[in-house]
Amino acid sequence: MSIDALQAIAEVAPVAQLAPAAMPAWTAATAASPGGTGFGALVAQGIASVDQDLAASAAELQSLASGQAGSLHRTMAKLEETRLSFQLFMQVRNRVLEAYQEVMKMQV
Amino acid sequence: MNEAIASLDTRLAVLALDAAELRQQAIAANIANAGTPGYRPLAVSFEDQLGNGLQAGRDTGAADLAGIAPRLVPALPAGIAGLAGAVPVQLDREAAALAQNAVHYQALVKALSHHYALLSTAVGDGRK
Repeated sequence: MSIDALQAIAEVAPVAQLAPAAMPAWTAATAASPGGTGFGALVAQGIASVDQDLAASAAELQSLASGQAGSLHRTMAKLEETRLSFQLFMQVRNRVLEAYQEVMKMQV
Repeated sequence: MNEAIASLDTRLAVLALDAAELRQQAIAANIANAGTPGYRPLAVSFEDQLGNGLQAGRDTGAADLAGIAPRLVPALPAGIAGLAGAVPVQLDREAAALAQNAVHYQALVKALSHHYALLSTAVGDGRK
């Protein structure tokens, strides 16, 4: 998820440096494109990826418990990576919530 | 999986652990078949492949681990490669290789654990 976000920024950054006037046009285009690379789609994609990781590591854990795990180190590495993914997801969620509350408190 | 978490380092360490696991099995098979007539000892080919892959990665700027996987190969003593017929298993060498491989596996596990701890600190806002 974060990588997609970084790539999106990297694609925009040169444009922004060359022609600052082009920025609003780009932002409007991205936000409006249906099912495109909007912020909501980005978040949904990230959540789906973390959910997939959780399901995969649950399956690995089951096969380890039933003695059918291919290799111990791969299972452990998978579990650790899923833990990190989930932790990263929680951090992003906290930041997004913070930002939302900040905007809500803003005087109009 | 997030690309930042499943990075080249983690994939490398997991591949090396695969190789150590396979080598443990190869050495165990060699020791178990030490007395079998006509048995050819097994070895694992991994480090040379990895070295070539990493060198190619340095040349092209992007390391490619796609084709690299630990493989079982017949062990041939240096100098008489290609010699026809069975090479006897040397039990003392196999036992030493087993011990060395176990230490190597432990070191790799510890290295991977340190790497994950680093990522965990980064993800957890500087806290553990």
